[in-house]
Amino acid sequence: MGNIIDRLSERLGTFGEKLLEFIPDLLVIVIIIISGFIAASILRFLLIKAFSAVRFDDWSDQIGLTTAFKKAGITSPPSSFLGSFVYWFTVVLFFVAGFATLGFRVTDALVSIFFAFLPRFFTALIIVLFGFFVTKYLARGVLIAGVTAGIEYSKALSELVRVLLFVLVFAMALEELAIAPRVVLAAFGIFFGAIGIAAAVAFGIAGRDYAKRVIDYLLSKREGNDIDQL
Amino acid sequence: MPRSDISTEQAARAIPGPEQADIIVGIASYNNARTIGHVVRAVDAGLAKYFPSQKAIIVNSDGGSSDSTPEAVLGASVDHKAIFLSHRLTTVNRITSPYHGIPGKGSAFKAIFEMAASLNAKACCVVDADLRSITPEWMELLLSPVYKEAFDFVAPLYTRHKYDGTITNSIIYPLTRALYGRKIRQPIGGDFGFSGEMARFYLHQDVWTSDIARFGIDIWMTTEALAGNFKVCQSYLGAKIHDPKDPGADLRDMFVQVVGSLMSLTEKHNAEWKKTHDSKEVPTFGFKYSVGVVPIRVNTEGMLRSFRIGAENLKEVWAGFMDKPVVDWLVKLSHEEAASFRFPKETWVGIVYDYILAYHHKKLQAEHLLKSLIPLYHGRTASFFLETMDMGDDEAEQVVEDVAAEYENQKGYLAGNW
Repeated sequence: MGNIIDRLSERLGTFGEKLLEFIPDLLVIVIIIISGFIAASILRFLLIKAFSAVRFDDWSDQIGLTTAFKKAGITSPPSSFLGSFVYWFTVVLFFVAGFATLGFRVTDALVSIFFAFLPRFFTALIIVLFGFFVTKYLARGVLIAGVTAGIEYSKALSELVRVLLFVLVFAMALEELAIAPRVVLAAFGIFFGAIGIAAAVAFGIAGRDYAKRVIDYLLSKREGNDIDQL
Repeated sequence: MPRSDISTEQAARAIPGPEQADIIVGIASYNNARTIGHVVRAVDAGLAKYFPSQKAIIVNSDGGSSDSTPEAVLGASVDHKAIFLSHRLTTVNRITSPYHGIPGKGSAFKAIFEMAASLNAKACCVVDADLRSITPEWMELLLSPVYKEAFDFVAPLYTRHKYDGTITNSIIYPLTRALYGRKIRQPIGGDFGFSGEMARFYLHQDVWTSDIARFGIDIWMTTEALAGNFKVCQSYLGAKIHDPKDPGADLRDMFVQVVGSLMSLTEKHNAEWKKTHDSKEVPTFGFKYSVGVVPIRVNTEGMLRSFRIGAENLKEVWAGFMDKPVVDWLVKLSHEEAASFRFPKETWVGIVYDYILAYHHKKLQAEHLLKSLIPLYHGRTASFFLETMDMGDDEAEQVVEDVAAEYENQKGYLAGNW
């Protein structure tokens, strides 16, 4: 019994020593994390001020970013959302940096993976953002070109272009993130191939009359209109 | 495309004889061999009759025609002895030269301005190459106000069929009048007179890579003359009859270029138009007479269809810069039958001003914005056709005047939301 108590007190003593050894490391982590929160707050404040100065929210309204955010369930203004994103990203960064100070093999490996993944993450983010603008622009271009060409289902055509481009953009982003690249590639090929075949078959079988009507309309417009609109 | 590398200035220097000209008459052309001979003969006869002792040059600025247009210019002959009791004292030189820059009427005019500047011309005019109704009197009417009355810019005034020039009637004329306070009835008529000083002013503007170098040139010339406080008048030329437009020409592109140029000029001259609060007549030369015009066939059903397709597909785009009740009303209107289809002028004018504001505030990419106006323009034009179906030309003209007055009434909305 005495032996057990001795062993227990010895272990507790060792634990106490280890705890005392760990407390400075813990304090360092806490200080780094608190610094992270402070730095993140400052960054968010500066970013929102800068966005406000360049009227980022107005610009986001113009290009449809605000609407896209709302559709994705983000109700705050884009500047505020991006400010929050930068805030939490900075906090996580400091958190990881704090753990890196421990020097444990496991945390070192995790930190290495995290920092190695960052360039891929940002590249994917840029692909998605750039893809969003291009998709928006092209889909609206298709819509307006379709309307001015007299195509009744221009909106459906525009939505189709939007969906296809979004799929393309997300496939590229997932490829960049190296998330199941083979599955993404295969799914992408099957998806686009199926749509291509479906569109060809649908237009060939069901769209003949419609295509004829559109062509007849365009020809009649040319033949029957001698107005000088200028 | 222009087919030679000789610039117009080089061509001007290469003219044997005159290093200076009193009068330059410019004709921009592209595949107009069928009609340009008549235009050149009328110009030549007009110069002989009204400016017999002035040095005059006819300049054909060609866009690389493949149908011998330049040859038709040089080959067109006028028997002065058969037309006049006395014939002119000096000969009229003719130059045909390809222009440089982006293909378009504006680039062709730039070459004419260069020629006018390098030859130090006192008075100039430009006429379309596809005119069938031009007479020698047009030279007197376009050039004399400049040469003899010291005007800087002469706009044309024509008798046109009530359905002719619908972009002019529904947007260009009333908007130019409301913005700049001068009643120029045909701001994009295409046949203008201007002074040598005005030509030099035009030449020095940096616009030659924009839509102004294409179909935007006419509204640009008129607007710059008005906004720059140049001395402006108009001359009555009679009927304007010309070759039907090239069926391959895309009217949507023309609409975008003309209306886009007007909007960019509204942007540029906002300080000037904000100071203007009403409109006044400009001096008008020429004897106004009754003249028969070629009836115009219109495709009202096609325009209604375009409007309905627009309302069905573009309502979300319109809602980006127009009030929701207006968009809802447009959608409701799109379901009306032709018999009851009416697009009131008040709504139309409000929409045009919303578009100008959207252009100014960059709510949408400019080309998308302008193209999204086309179905609305078709709707308003169809309504105008239906409204004026049983009217004579004079009554229909009164409807256009009422629209112009409405633009003036609502101008405060534009200025207030700028």
